[in-house]
Amino acid sequence: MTMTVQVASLSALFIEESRQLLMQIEQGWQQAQSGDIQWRSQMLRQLHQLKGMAASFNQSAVADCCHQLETQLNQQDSAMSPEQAIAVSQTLCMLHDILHSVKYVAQTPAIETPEQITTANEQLWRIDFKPLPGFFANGQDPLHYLKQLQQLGDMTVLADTSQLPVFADFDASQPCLSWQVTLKTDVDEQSLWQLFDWVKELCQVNITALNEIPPPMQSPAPARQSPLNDIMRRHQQQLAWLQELQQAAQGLPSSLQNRLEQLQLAQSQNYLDLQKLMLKPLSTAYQRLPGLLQTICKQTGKQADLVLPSQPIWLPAMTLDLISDVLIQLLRNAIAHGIESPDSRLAAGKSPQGQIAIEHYLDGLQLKLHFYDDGCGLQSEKILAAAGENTSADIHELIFQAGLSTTRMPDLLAGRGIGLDLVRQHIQQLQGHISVASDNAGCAFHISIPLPQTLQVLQAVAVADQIFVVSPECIIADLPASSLPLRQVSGRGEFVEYQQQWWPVWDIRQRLKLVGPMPEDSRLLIMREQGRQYMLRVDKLLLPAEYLLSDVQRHYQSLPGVVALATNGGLQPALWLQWQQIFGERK
Amino acid sequence: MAVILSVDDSASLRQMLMITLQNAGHRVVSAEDGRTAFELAQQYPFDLILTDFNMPQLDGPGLIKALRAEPAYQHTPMLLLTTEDAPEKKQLGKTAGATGWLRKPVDAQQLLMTIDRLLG
Repeated sequence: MTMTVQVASLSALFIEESRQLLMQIEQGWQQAQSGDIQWRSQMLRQLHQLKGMAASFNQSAVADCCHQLETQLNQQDSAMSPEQAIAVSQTLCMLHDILHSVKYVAQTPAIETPEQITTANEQLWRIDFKPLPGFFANGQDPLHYLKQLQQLGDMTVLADTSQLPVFADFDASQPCLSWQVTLKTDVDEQSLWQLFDWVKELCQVNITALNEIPPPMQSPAPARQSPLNDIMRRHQQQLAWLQELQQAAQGLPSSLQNRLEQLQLAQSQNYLDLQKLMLKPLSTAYQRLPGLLQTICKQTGKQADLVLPSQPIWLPAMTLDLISDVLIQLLRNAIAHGIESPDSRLAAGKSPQGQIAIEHYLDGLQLKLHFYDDGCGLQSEKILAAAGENTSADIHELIFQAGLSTTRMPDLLAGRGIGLDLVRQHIQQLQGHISVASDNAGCAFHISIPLPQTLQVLQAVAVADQIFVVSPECIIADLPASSLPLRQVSGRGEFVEYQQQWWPVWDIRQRLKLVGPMPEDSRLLIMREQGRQYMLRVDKLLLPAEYLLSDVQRHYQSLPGVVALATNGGLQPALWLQWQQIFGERK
Repeated sequence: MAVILSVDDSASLRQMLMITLQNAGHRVVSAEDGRTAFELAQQYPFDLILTDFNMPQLDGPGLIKALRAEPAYQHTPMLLLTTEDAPEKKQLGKTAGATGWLRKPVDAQQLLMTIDRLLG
């Protein structure tokens, strides 16, 4: 019942709307007769609208009339012969009669009409469908197209997952799967292509007719992976074998057991060397700087020295590229805006040669970069003047704004107001932070960037069946626990007197509730970190080694107190923890 | 069930779409021009947008382009429903960011199937 009522009211609405539209068309036609020039395009638009509506309501008589009128009007350039004008008037009259006839009742809108698809004999097709980067924009989904194919006949789909990146590099906004579809359908080739027409620029599609029934599905085509991934897979397998061997080797001569240990060590080294191939040293970002400095100095008549750090830091290539851009911008900026001409420097009591220095170090997985120059510092007045109305903003904020420049004539070096804006954009992309400090003795940019992965030499310690790593720089000394008397201070835990100072003893086993007997020869590590001193009680110290550090947050979620996950190719990963946070602020 | 914003300057077409979509179990909000639709879309997170091409105030491609600039609508399916089928008009819709193109008169079954596929 409700459906009938709905359709009846819908028809009434359609008739009313069409009649109104027709009235507007008729008025337009009258204006045309009286010499109005603007009429034609508007009338065509209204006719087109009426035609579309009529077609939607299955009113072919109305749609045909509109179409005829469109054709008649489109033939005319400007002037219309009397005969042509009469023809248009007649068609309009016909349209009017149809829409105003008393008996006229609009029919039910077409609901059941099946989709028009040209058919051919049933045929087997192979369709390769590979979405390209950017495919997911605008709400596209590859599955939408696979489902459309599925409706055309019997289909088998094979997904090619060989281009899936490693988990850390996974970018949900980019496609990495492609599909091989075998479809048995009576739809012709053109209709198949038509399905992909809307996204033809966003994907690679290959449609081929298969003559015979295809052989049973084979495993996907050999993956085009980098050999590094293959080696890594083999490494994992070998590690598992090694472990099996080690378990079975108990009771065998110790020389054989030693050999096994050596093998495992060699495996770890292989693993780290492989990781090094995937990571890049930060120093590559510095390679272009000295040459650039020389060029810019030559162009500007300024003089400057550049001091670069040498401590190796490893990081992913993509992070490196962005950092490289940032450094180039900062260097350009320092010479263009910071370092003064040799004469001005001499007048200011400085050496004619400017000094630019970069420092870097790692704080856990945080890369800290400092960029110094001994130029004239930020020129507050110029920056504020260039910012105009924005003068209430902090000057240290203003320099990073897009489009702000203090140089009157932009040149290649700086002055386009994009340099520092780009710097901030890159740093934001890296989820890092940049700040600036300045006075008339120079300018300093402080950058902090969280690295997804890096390599570092760390001290490993064992507690129960767990391995933890600590930064060797934090360890002041390592003592047998039995050599120092422990003292219980009620409510404040254990303390130890060492070199005339009282140190809190932090027991990892107790705090993390690790199970297993404490060995008699447990060790105390004397630690100093961020101005805080404490002792860590551990079962034993292992050899310091180079570890691959990964950000836990990117794989899982942010865990308070966890700096990084550390592995050195062995089967057991180690954790780098922030002990101060784990043990809370015990005084 | 999806919440769909349907935009068309013809009242009868709006109502026809509403009945068709409601009978299929969807919730529908209608707008008669692009500007109104844009304002509605900012107040409510629609699952899918169906829009006419030629409209007063703001046309279909204009609406889609404006919505694509909004973070909430970057991946929302948006369909152009239109009598136009000239390649340059199609290109206009594609550049604006439309997910697809349905030619009027649209068959109800085909429309519902397309919507279901797009909504996964």
